[in-house]
Amino acid sequence: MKKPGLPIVLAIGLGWQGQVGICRQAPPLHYAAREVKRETHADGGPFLSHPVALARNESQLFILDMDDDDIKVFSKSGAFEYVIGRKGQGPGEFHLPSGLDVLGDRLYVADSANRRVQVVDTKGKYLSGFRIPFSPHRILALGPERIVVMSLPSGRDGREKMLHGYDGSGQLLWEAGDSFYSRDSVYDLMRNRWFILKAAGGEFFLMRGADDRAVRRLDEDGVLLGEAEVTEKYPFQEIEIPGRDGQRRTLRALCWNCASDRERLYLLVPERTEDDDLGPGRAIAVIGPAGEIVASIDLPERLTRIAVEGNTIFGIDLEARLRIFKLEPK
Amino acid sequence: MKRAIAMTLAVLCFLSAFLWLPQSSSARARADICYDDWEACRTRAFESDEGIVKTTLWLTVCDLALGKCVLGFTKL
Repeated sequence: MKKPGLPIVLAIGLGWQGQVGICRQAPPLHYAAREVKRETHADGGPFLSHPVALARNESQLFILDMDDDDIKVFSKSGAFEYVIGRKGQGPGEFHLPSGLDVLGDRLYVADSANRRVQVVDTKGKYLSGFRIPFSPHRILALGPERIVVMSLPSGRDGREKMLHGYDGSGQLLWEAGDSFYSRDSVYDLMRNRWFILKAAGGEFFLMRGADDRAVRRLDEDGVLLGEAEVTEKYPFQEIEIPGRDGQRRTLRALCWNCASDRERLYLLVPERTEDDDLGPGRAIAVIGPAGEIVASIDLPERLTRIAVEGNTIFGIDLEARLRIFKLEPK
Repeated sequence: MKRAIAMTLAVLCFLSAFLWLPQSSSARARADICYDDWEACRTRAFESDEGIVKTTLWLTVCDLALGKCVLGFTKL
């Protein structure tokens, strides 16, 4: 497989552990994404109803389908293989699942409307699960005994913790990450659009999707290890949204969706829509550890969700189809 | 006289416990359903992939529907 050849950053820079040094970096590289696979049914329609999360392991790709309440499993080459789960409240069943992660041959599901976390193997066999006192929104499995669950704040009780660390049996170990709160519940929720992404060494990145340039790195106990700021050269997108009492508020959107791979962050840049809204985009900015843009990727179509592995981009398009792209230098 | 007042109060307490508490728990159950539906509404809106403005409007509808549901005007 051809390597992406992402730029060598001639930098010591502000590292994740807080080291400071001299920074001299190569200019960002530009890539085009060449499509290698578009997965559709024989009748041309999509396999997926409402895909909301992508996860991958060494051999397979897993797509969480919120409307079908299941997980569609594909090969890395994009061939559909089988379905895991169905709608329900029993073991291995889901209701409005919204988050998915994979750790080896285990899938971790944020089973939102059932207010629980479920663990199944990659063949669909139920392994374990535990109830939690809120609707889980996103989930990261840093290890079998370290599961990070993100909640959506209610907006009713002031600042709330959004990150919750559990062990494998469902014991709460820690809570971190205060939500933004201004008494305007809708605006607050739009500002509390956070992403959690895996980093090396059992750590994870925390990014806020709007009004924040910081990329935070936390350890498995929710302790902040370091922080970098995405460069001002990043193509932030501003939009006015209706707020409480008829006021209009401005959001400065960072990313629509994002992925991590080999200590790089892949941010899907939001894009203006025909009706002057801000929606999924067709450009990805690759962010290095110091917040610098190390590469940019042009996609042939808008994607709503992405996962990255080396020079391969897995994405979901606006028609809910799985698309697979290879990166080629421009 | 004192005995009659005490008896009346006891009966009133007994009746109110029977008449009010079931309504209270039923109202609480109804409110729980409202909040569950509200959370589901927000989750759907948040993951809708509609634009940011449309998502904002959708979330506003979720909040309005919650208010109406809790007040008993309608169910989400």
